[in-house]
Amino acid sequence: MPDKTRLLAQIENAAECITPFWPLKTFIATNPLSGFEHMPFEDAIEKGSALFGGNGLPTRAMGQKAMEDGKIDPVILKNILEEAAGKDEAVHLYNEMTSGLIENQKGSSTKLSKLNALMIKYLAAFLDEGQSGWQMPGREQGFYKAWKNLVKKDDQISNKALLETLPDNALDTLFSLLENVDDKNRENFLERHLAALPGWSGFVKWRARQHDYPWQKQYPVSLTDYLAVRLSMVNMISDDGLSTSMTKTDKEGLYWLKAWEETYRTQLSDQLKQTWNNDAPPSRPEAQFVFCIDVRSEVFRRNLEKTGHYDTYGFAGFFGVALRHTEFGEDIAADSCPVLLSPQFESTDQPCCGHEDKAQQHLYGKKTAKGFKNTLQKLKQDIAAPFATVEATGALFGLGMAARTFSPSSLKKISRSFKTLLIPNVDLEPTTSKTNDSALGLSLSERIFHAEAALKIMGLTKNFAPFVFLTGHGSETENNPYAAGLDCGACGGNHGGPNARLMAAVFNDPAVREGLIKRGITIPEDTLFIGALHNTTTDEVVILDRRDIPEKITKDLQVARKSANLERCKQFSTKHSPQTRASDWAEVRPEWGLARNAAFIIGPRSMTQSIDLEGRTFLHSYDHESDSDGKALQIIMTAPMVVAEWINTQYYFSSVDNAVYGSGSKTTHNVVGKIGVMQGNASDLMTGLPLQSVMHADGQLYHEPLRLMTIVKAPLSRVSKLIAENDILQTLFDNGWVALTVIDPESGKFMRYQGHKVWHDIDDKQTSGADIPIVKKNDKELEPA
Amino acid sequence: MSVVFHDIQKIEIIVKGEKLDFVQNLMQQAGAQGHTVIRDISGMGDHGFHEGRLLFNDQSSLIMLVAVAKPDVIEKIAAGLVPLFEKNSGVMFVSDAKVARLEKFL
Repeated sequence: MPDKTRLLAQIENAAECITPFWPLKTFIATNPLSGFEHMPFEDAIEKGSALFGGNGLPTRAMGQKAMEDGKIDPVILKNILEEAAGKDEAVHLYNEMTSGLIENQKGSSTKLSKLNALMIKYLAAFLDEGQSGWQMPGREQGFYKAWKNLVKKDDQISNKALLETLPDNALDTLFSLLENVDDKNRENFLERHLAALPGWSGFVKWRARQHDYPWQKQYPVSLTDYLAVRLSMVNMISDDGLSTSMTKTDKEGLYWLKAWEETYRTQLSDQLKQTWNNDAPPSRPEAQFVFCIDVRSEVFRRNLEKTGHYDTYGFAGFFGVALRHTEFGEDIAADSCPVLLSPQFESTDQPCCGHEDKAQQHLYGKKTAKGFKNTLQKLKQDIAAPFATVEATGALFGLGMAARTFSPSSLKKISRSFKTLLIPNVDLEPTTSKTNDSALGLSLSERIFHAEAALKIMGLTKNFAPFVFLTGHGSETENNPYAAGLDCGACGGNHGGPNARLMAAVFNDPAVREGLIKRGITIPEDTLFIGALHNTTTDEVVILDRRDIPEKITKDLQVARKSANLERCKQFSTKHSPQTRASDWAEVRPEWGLARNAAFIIGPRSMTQSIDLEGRTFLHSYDHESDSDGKALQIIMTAPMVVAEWINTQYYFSSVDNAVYGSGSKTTHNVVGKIGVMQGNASDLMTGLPLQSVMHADGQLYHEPLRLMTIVKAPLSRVSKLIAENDILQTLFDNGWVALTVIDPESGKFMRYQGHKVWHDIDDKQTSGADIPIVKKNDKELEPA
Repeated sequence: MSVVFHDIQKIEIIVKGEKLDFVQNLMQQAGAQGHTVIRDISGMGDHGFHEGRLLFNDQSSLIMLVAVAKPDVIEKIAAGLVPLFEKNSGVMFVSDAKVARLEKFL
């Protein structure tokens, strides 16, 4: 038995190579190479190439196009080549890189092997979450046993003699199948089998850990099951399904990447050198708006700030409360918090006082609509009924399809009006259920704790405006399996509205305000917090709490919406309005999402307010003066920045190799089991972003594949100490997954982190020169304070 | 009346929060009857000082699991931790302990 527990650990270790994959409805951005983040970036992409066959660097064609578009400075590229290869060789390299293309320099695709096709068949059937009309039998016994029962009847497998000898327990089976594999080679062996279909095994890895997930509770699956089934079938059909294809990585891609990054980073640093010390006007603003750190917020914030004396802040869009939220009249709850956290509170909506009758109508309408949908679904999946259904209702649905195609916006308006008739809108307020000693369900000390933490982390501790809007965000899109990918990453792929409303109610609580005064934060009596929601597709801001809001603010939000719309429309090649994009069922690109993200700026808004950051930066508000112990900065760098790195790497890898690390073109996507998409009728689960999310067209990048650069305005000693104390920061910075520049407020110096405790002043070199990791003589090494 | 103590072994394990699920499963498979989880541990190790409490990140903060069981169960747990610690940071301590109600832990 100790050998079997040893095997459990070997499976756990082997599974580190695959990234957990969340189901589509809570699409979470992840780094496809997250298992190799403990390695230097260059080594990780080599490993990714060996295991998955992916290309982890920009190709020559991408580099040349970027240079043609002015996104790579030739001088910077030349400097990088000189530093790396010497002056003479650099000239040769430069000429080679900038003339002519390399043929077929992209990820290779391989034909699906028989074993992988079989695995996909069984996994798709077992993991189905309500899409199929005919369920796999015996799923409640778990994946291994369900497979074992069913495979007996599988005509695709002729040799079933092995089945008789297999134990009933997956771990025992796997143990016996691995008897001939030497102990020291086991992890590598298992790693290769898990990496053969990283999407499917990634989904199993995710689901196996979700003990409260209804599908997992009912139909359990584990990686031990997965491997036991796979290795059993390897023996039965004599095919190991392992591909030997490997994309060659070379230094050239790295040179392109560094030059591309350096061009952007130099420009941004140069801009910030002019503005980093700007102060916010001391007068009281008309209103303050707290937005999510998401790069899309920056465009709206900049346009809103132009309309009046408004201060805007950036904070993780879950506003510090990790919720499991159930919408009014729904059965299924969603975790509205970053996946780094477990939900701490369960919340739901309840009708506001005086809306009880309307709430009943709302529930009744919702139930009727659900019943109608279910009946239609059953009729569609029945053996005989579809013929009669189509006869009776086909014309009506045909008209609907025509309207959705030719006039999506009008149809949406009509269906909205119809929906409101059937399910009347009702005023709701959020409530949590962890404790019952207050109106909000959170105990007073919890409410004060969350309020204080949120304000201190974003540096909003004084000069409160009469109105403070906590603005969550969500997208609006039709017929889009990737809809959750456009929603709030800090809310686990959900809309951030419930969190915004709940925290607004916490801040408005007189007892909380009294508690905050004792902690040194005084919120004036006339300050009102209001929950709101920013629609990132249409830039509409909806006020969620029914309050009297000055007309000027409502109008200014409209003005900001129009100018943000105009700005975003320039990025599309077609002239559809954002409203049409949001309602068109054939729209493959309702918005650009977080494409082109490249930097994460931690500091007060005053340091960036005068710069057009082009929606490329995550902005987290931070005031180093009100965080003397560095706790707030620690939270920002160990959580929001980590999530930003996941997003950034997902966009990066989906761009450099869309076939392997992305999910290919949407036009050939098939949704499977309601959990993910496959290309065609059988493929690995496609875990990255679709081609349409990162490219204008095949081969024409929209997203610029650059690794994230974090810029922090804080004392250098504080940041240095944080890196020394948090190994997650060492992993990301020392291995080159995220670059770091600290703007030290005392000296005014821009200090670039070179990794492993080495810093260097970016002004200690030619301004146009490259900053590749070479330690200069005047670098100083800082010991943790 | 004096309390009668029985011999038993104790294992204390410190790992990253992201490995909680694995260690819990391992303990269950090995036959441990229960365990205690202590979250947000801080301390000094190979990689320097580890900060304890990360407000918005449960995965990267350190946790400690404590269990008592018969020596064969502890051995099974330890056998599953040795390969884990080859790839991940973490430590385990095994020691002799005494309990009053032995039947609770067998």
